[in-house]
Amino acid sequence: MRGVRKTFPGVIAVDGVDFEVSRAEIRGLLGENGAGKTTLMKILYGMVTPDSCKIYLNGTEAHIRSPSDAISNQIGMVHQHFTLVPPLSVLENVILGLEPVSNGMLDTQKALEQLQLLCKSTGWSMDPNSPVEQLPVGLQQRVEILKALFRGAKLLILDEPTSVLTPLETRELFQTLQRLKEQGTTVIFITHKLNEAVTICDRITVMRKGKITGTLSKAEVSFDELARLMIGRPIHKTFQKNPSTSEIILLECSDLWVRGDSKKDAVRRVSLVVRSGEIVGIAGVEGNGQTELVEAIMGLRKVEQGAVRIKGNVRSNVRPLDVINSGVAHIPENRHERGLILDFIVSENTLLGFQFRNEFSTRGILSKHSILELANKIIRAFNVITPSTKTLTKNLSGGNQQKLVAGRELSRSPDLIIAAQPTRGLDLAGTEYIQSLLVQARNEGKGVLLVSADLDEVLNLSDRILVMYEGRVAGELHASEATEETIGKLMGGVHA
Amino acid sequence: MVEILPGIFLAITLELSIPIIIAAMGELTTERSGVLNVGIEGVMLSTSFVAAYVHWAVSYLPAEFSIYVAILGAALVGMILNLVLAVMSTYLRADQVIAGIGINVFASGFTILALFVAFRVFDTTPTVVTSYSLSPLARLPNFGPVSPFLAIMIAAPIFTYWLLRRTRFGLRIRAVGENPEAAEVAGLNVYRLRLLATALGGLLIGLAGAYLSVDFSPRFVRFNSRGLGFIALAAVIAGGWSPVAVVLTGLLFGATYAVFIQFGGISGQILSILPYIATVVGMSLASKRLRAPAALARPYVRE
Amino acid sequence: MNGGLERKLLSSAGTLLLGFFAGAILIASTGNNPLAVYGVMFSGALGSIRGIADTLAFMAPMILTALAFLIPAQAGVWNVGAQGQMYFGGFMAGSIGLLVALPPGLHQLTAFAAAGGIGALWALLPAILREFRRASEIVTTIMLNFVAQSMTSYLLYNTLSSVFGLFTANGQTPFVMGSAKLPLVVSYAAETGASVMIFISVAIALLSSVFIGNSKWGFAIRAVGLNPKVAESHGMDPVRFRILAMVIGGALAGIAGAGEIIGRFYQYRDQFPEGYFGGIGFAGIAVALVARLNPVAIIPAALLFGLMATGAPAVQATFGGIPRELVWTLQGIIILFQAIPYVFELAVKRSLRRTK
Repeated sequence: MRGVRKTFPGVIAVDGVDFEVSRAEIRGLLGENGAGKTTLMKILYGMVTPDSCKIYLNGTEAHIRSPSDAISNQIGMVHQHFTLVPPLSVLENVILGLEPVSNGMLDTQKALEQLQLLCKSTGWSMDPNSPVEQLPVGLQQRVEILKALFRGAKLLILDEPTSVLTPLETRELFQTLQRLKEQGTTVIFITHKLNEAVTICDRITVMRKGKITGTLSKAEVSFDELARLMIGRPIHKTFQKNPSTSEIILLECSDLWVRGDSKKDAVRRVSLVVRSGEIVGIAGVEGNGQTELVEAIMGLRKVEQGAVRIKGNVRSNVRPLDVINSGVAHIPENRHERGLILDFIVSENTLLGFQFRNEFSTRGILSKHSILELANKIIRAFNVITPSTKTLTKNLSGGNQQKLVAGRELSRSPDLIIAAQPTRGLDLAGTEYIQSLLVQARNEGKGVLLVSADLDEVLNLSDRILVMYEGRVAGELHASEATEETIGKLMGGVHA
Repeated sequence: MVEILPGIFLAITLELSIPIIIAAMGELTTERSGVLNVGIEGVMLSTSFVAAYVHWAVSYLPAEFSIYVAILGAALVGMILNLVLAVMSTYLRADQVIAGIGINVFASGFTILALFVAFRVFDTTPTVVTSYSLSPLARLPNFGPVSPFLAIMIAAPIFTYWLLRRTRFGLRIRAVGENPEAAEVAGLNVYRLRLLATALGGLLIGLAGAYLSVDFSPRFVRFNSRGLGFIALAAVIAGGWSPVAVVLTGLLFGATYAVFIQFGGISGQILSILPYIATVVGMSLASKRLRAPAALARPYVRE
Repeated sequence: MNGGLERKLLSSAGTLLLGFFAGAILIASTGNNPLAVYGVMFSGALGSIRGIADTLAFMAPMILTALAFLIPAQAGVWNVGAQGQMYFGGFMAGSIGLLVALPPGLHQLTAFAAAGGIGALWALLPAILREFRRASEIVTTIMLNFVAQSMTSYLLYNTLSSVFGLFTANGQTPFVMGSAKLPLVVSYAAETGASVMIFISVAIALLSSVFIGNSKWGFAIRAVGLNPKVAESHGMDPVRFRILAMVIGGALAGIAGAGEIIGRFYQYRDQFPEGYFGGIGFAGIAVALVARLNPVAIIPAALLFGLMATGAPAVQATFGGIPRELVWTLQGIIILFQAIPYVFELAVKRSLRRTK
């Protein structure tokens, strides 16, 4: 791939990358969230149209504009989110779209034979007739891989394949990848886990902020070097902060266990404390339990074991309203999912969370005057640019929507602020503005729990940093002792 | 106590199971592709009228032809009406439920409008007197006439099962009904598959409608489908979207009707709601086991 | 709430026009002049005291059944069961009007309360099954319509006659007590015309508008309907507010039934909202859709549908070849067109942009 470039509105996802991979190689593609790994590979797979890119396969230029172009060029991709049809059987899922047919009927016999051949080459044994929804995630992934192979893939792209696997399953996957490699298949392995990349890959390409920062072969690789290439920037603090000295504990999680959507434990025995006047940052690659942790604190997800205390009172498994009324503000990681109702007008969105407060209604009828006052106050104080308070919120720009959320939450003089990915998708000015608000809140003696996949942000703002990995707190660092190597290794699951 | 005669009871059970099961197979095919046809009642009502009308209009033909022309006409109209729903719920991004309700309301007015325009009456079409019996086996002792619709009732579930399980088309229908995004990724045309499945379903519903006005009785009466379409919809749900279970449920619902008819009158009034109650209770007790196609009634918007 | 109102009204009006146009084609195919037919329909409805009274008498229950669909819809729940809730409400009101002796005023109030209560209960059932048993309310409310229809028939023919000794064999009860009758506002013959239900229903529509648009509960109902996860995050329990909306809808449908019995027929009649899909319960869905789920817009929309229902017999009388069920056909066509707002809103959006 030559000269790959892709910009999304406001972001450069892939910035002039040249990428090569040889036949029968296992290549690691390593980087943090948003480094551009997945976008680069989606371009190769025809799912994302690049601004510029030339793709050469075996030396000749190939035009890949859709996944079916990629498939006919023998490229297969297994996504993080599977594209399986749950009630259909393994066999049916594998052959869907390319079914062998005889006399208008499915040629099950032929399909079975082909599947068996594939199973042989991968070394797996699968029951072709069991519905995929009854299979554990690890086996579902195998079905995805078989699907790609059935379509004749000689170049297999795997996007964070081990994030859903147990250690044993991971080892088995690696054995299969080795086998496939020996049979001449090329594998591109997208990951953020350092030790896995080192274990399985022949060469590792590291990406950062849309650029390739280095390609190392197995022989020359070291964890420190990889971590440096992945994080790769001096840590410098731009915000003025007076030292935090308070001992008042605002939030305390002790031995917290929370389940994820798939009923698996997503948060495992997490303990943490947020004091008055400090920002505690939670770093880590997304999907390592941060979302579930925040939802558990906010009363949106059941706490299985352990306790959440807010200002000393137990607040686990209470109604969300009780958490809000305890003086907790929440800037959610996805403002469209948890933060704003896009079909509400601006003033209605500023009321969210306070809709049952007496100061906003008399005998149940909302008082237009005080709501408007509140909305105008927030719009002015937080520079939300909107034609009026009656504008539909979906007509606001992303940055202004986020300012609206942050403004609403911070205007309520909370004691504790849970901010999850507060600057995601914002431009530079918006990012700095939101960040300054958080620092200001901290300096006023509030406690902030900052969850962010943006390492710069965590390093910049936090007094203390916790790194989450596979649902646990992998390490805790003081801002002063955080270096790129230590954090990078903790994020990648390697003990420092 | 009313005496129940086993032979007649069985005959009535079958007579009423025929439209339920045939229509249920049509609804099943449609729903497995992800289209919820709440308008089944309206389609059945309309096609029932069409069959009666065509039967009357071509009664100059030899009887053994005219009846099949009538059935064919009903099947065709069933396909067209279902296609209207399918086009609305795919390309036009309509809400399937509202569209279905619209078809029902339309049909309840339109059939009477058409009845009046064609025959200047409000209640019933003229009876087509025919010497031809649909029954190839004539009357069995204690059993009543056996019609080709009985054969369709037996063949439709077998066909549906075979189609869904053994053919490429069936596999693809199931895929688009469960996960249209994945189906699209696998290179399938979601809209076209839904259109085809829904049209096929309409054909079967049309056959069920025809049965009511050319075989079950030789005429169309105002509101001729009398909720049987919804009973078929209920059978699909209570049968958990599996052809075999849907057939058994259809037979059970037919039997409740038969009991109702045998009891007649007031107690029958209460018995006639059994299929509806069975569906509500069944859905409530087994909502986890009874798994609807995951994409049912969910409009799929192409990227 | 009022965002894009202009666009919504335009697209709704466009949809209606298209519906009438399609109806015109249908009418023309019967060999009649569509304009003449529509003309007779409107003059039949508005050209006489009788027509006006009937139009208003039809409008009143349609406003209520439209709200019975609209309020749950605001919470994201489908109440296709207004028809069934109406049966029970009417039956309850009729029974109280016949069997319980109360002073006027209190009598009607009791009848309304009981009708609203049983309508609410009949809607609570599918609401609970939806929330706790994951049973689709679309299907259960449709099924429960049939159950209600048969159960009220049974109660009429059996319970009322055998337990209370009333003569019901002809499919209706004796007349309710004078103290239970609602006074008429517009009448064209003794005890026939439009009752105070027209004011009651308009008042309820305006109250509903305040409730949905300006009360804290309405705020929560709308929030839950638009985005249940955001609502949940901000302390509005989606389950509670969905059930609340459904119960209110059921109560209003029950009151619609009561109004028909103690304000129009003065007796309970078997299957009084004409059965099947032409009934007022289903017309309410069409009304609510044409009003684009705006409670105030429901009033003119119900007036229009009432007008159609009233004008239909005149059409039938004038044009030999057109039965009054033409109206149901038109309703069906209008619902079908309303089901594809996407197309119309797109068209309106484009034309608005062009004119700007």
